[in-house]
Amino acid sequence: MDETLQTQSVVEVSAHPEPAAEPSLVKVSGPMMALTWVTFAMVALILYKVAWKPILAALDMREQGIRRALEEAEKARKDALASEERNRILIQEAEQEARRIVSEARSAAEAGARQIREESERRARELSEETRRDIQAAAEQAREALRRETANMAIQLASRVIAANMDAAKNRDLVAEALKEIPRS
Amino acid sequence: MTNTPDTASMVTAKSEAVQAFILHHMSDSRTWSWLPAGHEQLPAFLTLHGIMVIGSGILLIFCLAMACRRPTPVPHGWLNFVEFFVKYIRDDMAIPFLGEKDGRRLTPLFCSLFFYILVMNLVGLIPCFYTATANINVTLGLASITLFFMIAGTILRNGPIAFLKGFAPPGIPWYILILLVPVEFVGLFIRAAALAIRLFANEMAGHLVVFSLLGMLIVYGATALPISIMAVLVFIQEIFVAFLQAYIFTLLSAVFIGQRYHPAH
Repeated sequence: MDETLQTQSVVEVSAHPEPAAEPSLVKVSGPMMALTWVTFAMVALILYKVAWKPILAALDMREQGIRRALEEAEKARKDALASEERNRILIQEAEQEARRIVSEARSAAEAGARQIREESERRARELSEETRRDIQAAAEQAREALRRETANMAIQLASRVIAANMDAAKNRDLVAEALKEIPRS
Repeated sequence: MTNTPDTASMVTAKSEAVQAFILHHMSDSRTWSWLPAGHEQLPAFLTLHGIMVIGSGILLIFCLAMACRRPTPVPHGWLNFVEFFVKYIRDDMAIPFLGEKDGRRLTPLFCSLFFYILVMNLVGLIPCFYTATANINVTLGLASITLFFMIAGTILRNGPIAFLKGFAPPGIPWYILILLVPVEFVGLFIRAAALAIRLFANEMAGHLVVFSLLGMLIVYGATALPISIMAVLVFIQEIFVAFLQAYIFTLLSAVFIGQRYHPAH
């Protein structure tokens, strides 16, 4: 672009505004201030209705929700801790109870075993005694039977001796013969 | 370009033209310049910055009404963005400086201040649009709202006696109070004025820098082309400044109102 033309266009642009009023950056204007007040008042009023009120209400509601959720979480945490403590106590009590039961069972078992052992020993002694008495009785019976048999045999022998008592030689022979018939055991 | 008296006078003429253009663009007027060409003459009751003040308000209402038209338990999109700032303003500005009750009650005011200033700042960054907050009257108007709450709000909340007692801190000797009370009273207005001037000066200065850098392109032509990179960087910084100034104005408003509401602190 030709520099003269460029300068001319810039000068034209700068010279266009109303020539009567000298532009000023710090000129105080009452109407402009009043316009600012009125506009701001209307903007603030409308924004309060359409924006700030719903936004602040939503913020409050969300914060209350978060606060409530945090409180519930804190309560749940405390409940969980209390529940954990209760469970710990219950487990501790259950362990003590289990130990007590095991201890009692062991004592009962030991007592039972001792009783059974004593009973067995007593029973064994009784059986042994009974057996010994039976053996003694059987031996007594056997001795009695032997005595009776021996007596019978002596009687028979004597009867034979008497029946055949003709001479001494014969008696001897009879006695010898009878002796042979007696069992050795 | 040759180094002749004609060239020098041309550069001078261009510089003056650019200065005049920047001054016209930064000041309020009734002529809307549509680039690259064309001017729109506004009605007598409207100025450029007045249109920006009203237009920014309408734009803000429209955007927020659209964002909030379908409330969901979990915000999405723009509503999420808006909610982030609303929560920040309530929890980190309003409540810390005004207490739980007053902070919650005045949060809508601070949200309106923050978003309104932010939108006016950002609208001014769009080519062919103008920065209303670079007008001292707009920033004075906004600061006077803060001043209104510093005075009327305190009188309504604490009563007129308590409001006046706020200028005389307890435990100070009477002969110091003679000096301190007027200083405190004037300080009330100085604080509000400082709010206005801070916002106005920052917004105007940023635009002046961008326009000045771009003006160098016109004055010196292709020689000054690297300057355009700097202009773009300053423009990006202006976006950050738009947020920063809206934040500072809102924060200081909360601090100043909080100081009057709770003078003991």
